[in-house]
Amino acid sequence: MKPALDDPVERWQRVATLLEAALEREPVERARYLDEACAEQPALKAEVEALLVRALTPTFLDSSALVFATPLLESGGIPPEGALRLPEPFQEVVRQVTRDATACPLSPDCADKDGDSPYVLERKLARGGMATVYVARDVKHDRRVAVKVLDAELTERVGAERFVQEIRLTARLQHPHVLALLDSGVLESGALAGRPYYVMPYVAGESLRARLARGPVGLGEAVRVLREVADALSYAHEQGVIHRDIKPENILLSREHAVVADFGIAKALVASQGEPPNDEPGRPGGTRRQLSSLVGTPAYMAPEQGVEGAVVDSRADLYAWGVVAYELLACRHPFEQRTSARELITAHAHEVPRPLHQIAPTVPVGIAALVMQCLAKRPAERPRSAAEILAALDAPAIRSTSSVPASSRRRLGAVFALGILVLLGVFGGNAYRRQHSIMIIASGDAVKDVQAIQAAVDRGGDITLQGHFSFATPPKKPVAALLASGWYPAAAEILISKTVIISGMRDVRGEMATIESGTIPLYVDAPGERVTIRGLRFVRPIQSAILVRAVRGMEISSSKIEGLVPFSIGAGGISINTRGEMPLPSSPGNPERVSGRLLIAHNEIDGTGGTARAPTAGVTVFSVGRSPDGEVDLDIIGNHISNTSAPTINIRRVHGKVRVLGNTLQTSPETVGDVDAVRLVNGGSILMANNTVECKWPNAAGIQVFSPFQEWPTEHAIVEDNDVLMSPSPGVTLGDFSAGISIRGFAHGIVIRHNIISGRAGAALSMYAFRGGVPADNAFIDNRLEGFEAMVADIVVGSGVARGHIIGPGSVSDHGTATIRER
Amino acid sequence: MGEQTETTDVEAPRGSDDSIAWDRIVPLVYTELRAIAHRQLQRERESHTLNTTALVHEAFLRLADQPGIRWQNEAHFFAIAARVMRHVLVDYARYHRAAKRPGAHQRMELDAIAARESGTGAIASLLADERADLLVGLDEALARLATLDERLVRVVECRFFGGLTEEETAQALGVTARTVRRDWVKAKAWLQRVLEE
Repeated sequence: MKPALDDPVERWQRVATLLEAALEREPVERARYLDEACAEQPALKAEVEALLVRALTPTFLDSSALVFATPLLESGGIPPEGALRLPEPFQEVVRQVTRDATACPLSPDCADKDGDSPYVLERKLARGGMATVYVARDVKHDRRVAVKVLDAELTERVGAERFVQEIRLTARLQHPHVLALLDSGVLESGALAGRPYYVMPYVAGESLRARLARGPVGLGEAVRVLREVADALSYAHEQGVIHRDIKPENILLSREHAVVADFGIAKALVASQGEPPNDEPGRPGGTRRQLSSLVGTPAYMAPEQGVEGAVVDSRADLYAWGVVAYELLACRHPFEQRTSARELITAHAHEVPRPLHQIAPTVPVGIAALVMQCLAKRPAERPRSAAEILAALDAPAIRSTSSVPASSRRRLGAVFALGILVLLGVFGGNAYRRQHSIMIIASGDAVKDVQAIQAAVDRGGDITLQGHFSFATPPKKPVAALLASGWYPAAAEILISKTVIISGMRDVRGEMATIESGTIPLYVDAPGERVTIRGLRFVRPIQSAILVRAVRGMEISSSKIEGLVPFSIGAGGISINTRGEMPLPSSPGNPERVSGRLLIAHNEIDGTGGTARAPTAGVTVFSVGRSPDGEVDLDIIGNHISNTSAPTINIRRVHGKVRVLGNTLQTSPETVGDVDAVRLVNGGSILMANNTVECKWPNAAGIQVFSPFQEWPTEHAIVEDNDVLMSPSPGVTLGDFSAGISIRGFAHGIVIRHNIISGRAGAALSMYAFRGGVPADNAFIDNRLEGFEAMVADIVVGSGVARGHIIGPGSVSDHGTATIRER
Repeated sequence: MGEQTETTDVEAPRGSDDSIAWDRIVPLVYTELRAIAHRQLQRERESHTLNTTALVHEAFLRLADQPGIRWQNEAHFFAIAARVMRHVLVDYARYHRAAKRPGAHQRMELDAIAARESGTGAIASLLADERADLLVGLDEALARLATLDERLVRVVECRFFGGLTEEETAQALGVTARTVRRDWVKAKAWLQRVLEE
């Protein structure tokens, strides 16, 4: 299989050189470069491409190890003082781990080398509670399997042969939600010789534990998983097999369905440990066995499992099912306050968990009651069988929303970010979505904060944020490929995909709810949904505070954005963009994805920190709305945008009405060049009025109305009653494009009136041809100049400009055709 | 940095335990880490923002003041300290993972283990587990990367484990900042891919 390869170091050097060269090129050129450089070498190209993608994506390595390791440092697992240097017990443990790690590193060399071994261990998948799972190849059947090899410690305690004999009991289980046992045996050679193993199908997916770690599980999904686990239990119990170690780690999710692993393993361990079993597992209730401390997980152990000599039967599995259900639905363990195994066991025996319906009020009461019944201390008080649970879950009434008490429907739950998972995720059903409000208070821990907010926005509804949230964690939500092609990073922190209202609430000291750092803290890709963001403060967001790719109706208001951090070629405070880059007639993006009322009002955006090479912009709206059925109504009102080194407002290709009213806009002296303080480009029914614009750039317009494309002319825009101050640094040479208000290219029927222009520029007002586009039938009407110093003339009409209409004062330099001058 | 009068025997540890420097600075860094962990908890309560780089520098500077150890120069010190940080954090992660094993159950404090099962919350515990796994995975991946290009590993140690800036890393390793930047991008991409495997 292994291709005749050159030396790995040599190969890496080639790959690295290509990667570097690709990175040095413009994003759009990279693909072509690799095509050429790796001609005839698809494998090499694939390798470079795989690295290229990752080179452009922030990873955990972009944080620092200490921050990254903080949860570890805080986990209470601090080795005893000086343990690192002392031989005992730490070094011993390290040695053990090292030994195990070297027993099967990633290469297959260490696998069972026995020539006729039926399985070749390929790599370690996970280390479980009592065994290590390897991905292996089943040589005979040429398929992927999972091989679980018992840990050395355990092997010493149980008879290997005996264990293998016991585990065969489970081989007869065949059920869609039971992970089948394919084979078992004792490894005969290699580093793991003497260890018992068993073979299961390889399930591509994740454990329920991993799923829970990713965030809350919606009600629908939770109930489905629980139902499937109950189904598996029901079947196995009928076959006389008790699990005894039901827990999220043993529930695997593959394609949204649950498969229960390790049936009968716990029992086999117990049975093989000492004398032969004295019970026949014929039917539930029949298995008597002394509990071994090795078996079972305290967090999920039924009360009777903690009592020596007690009868442990299938109802212990029902109890464990109840604990899992509780954890899944409430997003917290029923005894999460208990900190030790001993305490847990005691709690299982004596402590009554808080009723589920109190913690998760929107879980249908039928389900909540069923779960609580499973958690009964006395087995006799639990449901009689898993089949009964199954039947209860399948009963039509149990999921009915009417069972939710009306009083709990509108409820503002205040939770800390860590605890929020408790309330979330459980109520994935649409029925609850609109009624539910939640408040999240910042924890200061980036991972928790992001997780909590993501969970809340996934559910939708009203979300109130308070406190100082840190988003300083690598972004995980992929940004649509088209967007990520050059301007935007490949991933964002929070993905908003549902109708949601996110409001910031000031804390007791009056501080706004703040989101600090993070690569695109809020990314909106919510086709057909309405999104509102109010009263949030963003500090040092990377690339954009808010990036919108799809939405139907949006409000961003009363928010503050400070200290934008440029990513690659720049940053922008608020971006609504369906193209990623500048939309072109040949590549318009997906304007149909954004429609409805778009309100951007009373925000403060401070672009300080941008440079000429990595500039910051204010509000960008590129390629949105579709005529005639999906137009937008875009209002940019009362915003305060300052210190940007790219346009304060940049609007391109908007289908529908655009109103830019009453904003205060001011650029920084730094400029990326070839931009204007305000740009109104490529169509839209535009009204820009009552704004104050200060442009500090020497070769730019305060307000530029233009179109470089014949296909997308800008027509009938009105720019009136604006104050435009042109304030380039004294002594700086002004460029050709310098003007207070300018009309360029394919622009027709534009009216510029009643504006006041002051400061110093090439012209106060100008009309120019551009890229073959000749402005025609545009008018400058009654604009005033106040203390204005023109380099060329107050009003300039460029050559070819047709039928320019000028009414009002000021010197005119006219090179146009048929210019009309009145007064 | 002309005067080398204070030059001593402090050398970059080579992964063996026989180096004097190794013996001395590991426990020191270790103690610092504990202090940092505690301070982090404190911060959580006061909800202050953490400036890690400052913390790491502070920790390192305190180490640099230790009597009995002299450094050729600050950059040299940082490079070594970053390596130690890797070693210590990975050991920490290994310890964490080892403590979770049932074999260890018997001998280790049962309570310490269960604290991670419930206690401060299953989520925090999972996070810790995940971080431990990733750190150990990273360490293994770095060992593989070292066979391809040793310098990339040094850069990762300085940047990630040491929290050093591009410029500081360049000084510590005696290369240009540009080289550091390029190495860093390559190393991250390579590691990310290996860790995804």
